[in-house]
Amino acid sequence: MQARRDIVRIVAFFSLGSAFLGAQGGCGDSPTASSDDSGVSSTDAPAVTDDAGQEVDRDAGGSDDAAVACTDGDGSEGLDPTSFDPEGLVTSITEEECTLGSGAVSNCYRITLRGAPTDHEVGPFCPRTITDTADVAGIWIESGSTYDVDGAFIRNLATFYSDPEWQLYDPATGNVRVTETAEACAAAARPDVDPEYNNYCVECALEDAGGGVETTVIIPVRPTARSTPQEIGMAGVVGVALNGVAFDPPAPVGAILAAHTIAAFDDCGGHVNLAAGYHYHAATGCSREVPSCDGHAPRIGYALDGYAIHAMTDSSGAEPADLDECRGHSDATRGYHYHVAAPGENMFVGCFHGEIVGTTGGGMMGGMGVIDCGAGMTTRCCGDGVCDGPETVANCAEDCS
Amino acid sequence: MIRAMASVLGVASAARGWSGRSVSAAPLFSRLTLALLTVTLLISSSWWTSSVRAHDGASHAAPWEACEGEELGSACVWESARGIHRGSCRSVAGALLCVRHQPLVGREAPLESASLASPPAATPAAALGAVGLDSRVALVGASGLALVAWALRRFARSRGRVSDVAAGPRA
Repeated sequence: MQARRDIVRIVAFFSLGSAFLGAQGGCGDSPTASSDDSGVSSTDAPAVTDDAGQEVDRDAGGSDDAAVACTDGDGSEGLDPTSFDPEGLVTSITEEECTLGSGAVSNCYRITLRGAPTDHEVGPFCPRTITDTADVAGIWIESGSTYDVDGAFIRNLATFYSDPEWQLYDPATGNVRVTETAEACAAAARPDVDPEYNNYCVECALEDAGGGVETTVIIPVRPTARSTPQEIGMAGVVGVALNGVAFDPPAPVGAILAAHTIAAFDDCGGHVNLAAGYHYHAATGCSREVPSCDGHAPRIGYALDGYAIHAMTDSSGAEPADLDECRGHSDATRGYHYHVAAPGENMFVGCFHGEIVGTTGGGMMGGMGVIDCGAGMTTRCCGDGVCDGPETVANCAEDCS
Repeated sequence: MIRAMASVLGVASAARGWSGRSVSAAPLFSRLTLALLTVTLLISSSWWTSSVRAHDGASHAAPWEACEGEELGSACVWESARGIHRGSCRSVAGALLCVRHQPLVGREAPLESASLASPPAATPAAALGAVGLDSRVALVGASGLALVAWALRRFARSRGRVSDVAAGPRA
């Protein structure tokens, strides 16, 4: 009888113990313990799904690899205009004379991006309540990792950033404070966040940016290697995706975090602001790709110096081990080309291996990519009355004085 | 919940057992219960400790801080939940940023597959917490199995003793 009682007690102990552990959920202040693929509850931090966008977006039918035949080159370098999705461009790519940073005159492509993806949806970005799940929210990039910006993430931000001032939701209703108007977007989606929008999840609708902001880039037809890398400096754009969306450089987020805001990205690693429209900060596999027949990482775009940008890993999941300081390397098939970093690193290229049009300036005051405004161009060009993108007092006094 | 667990555990009788009184009522189980309780408390303590560690927060500035005071092109290193990032300091947006150009060190699987399947880890500390939780779950599971095995053995032994008594002394 004693042994039977013991067994009953032991079973009851483990049952109650399991219930106790389950009720605690690993962390008292984490609400909906999301579970990852391993089944381990992720309650010690906001719901985390590293590079979640990749899985979601590929399933969402982002890039249609089957529609683009693989290519293997002969080692020649330079932009292939035919690899772009024409729908992503405002006009056909044209050639014109240009002056490189070295002062040399060269031929360049003029590419005017539509500023809106043609192969995937834009958003969602911010959740609306603290119970929203990842499927109705985007991602956040932090210290090498990506995080689903779901309700649990929003709720746990104070813990995540070790700062009790974080409170992006109304505790009484659970509603997340989101910049839902163009005015709110304009006031919050900038480095110097309007204090009125402290503690907001910041998002802008593509419609508020006119459905897409046209951006013109000038890229050398034939890349010219430099003896030393060209720094990104204050460049507003580092390259272009094959779907007509700009690749933006990493940006320090200290200011927006100090205002207790996060400018959420969608699962494709992009977001919208009124000056630049929709642009990428991470490559998550959504955009148009040109596969490599030999299993090398697919080509996804071009840098401003004309060298190709490829995804990070090859078909076996390996990242090249011989990248240089700009995250590029050479092989006999592709010549010199770059590989993007992981989505959580917010980086497409680390610097420019080749000459670009204009310079980023020794003092990081840019001239790169600054062009005169043409018909229909409203931003990121000199003469539109707005000092944005690469424009500075030095290269566009009429906008930035 | 805790009161119910204590009731089931028979903490009071267990304490009596350790004090030497009423041991004859359930001597072995009392000791076992206390041992089990001790193990549970140790596990819980470890769990809460690592939970606190996991809440140390994230450092958004790590790749920038890695190049503070450094020169353009200097080698740099910083650590994230995903591994050790080694690269060089490049000029980006008016500051020096550590641009990784070597494969991450410390990850056990290729990055893309790892990113889709690995346990979430917001920070290195959180990663430690996740590992700790795994090991704790394993420990509890192993303890449970051992306990059940012991109980079954004890049950079988007691049935054997009863049978022996019923059968009387052997010749």
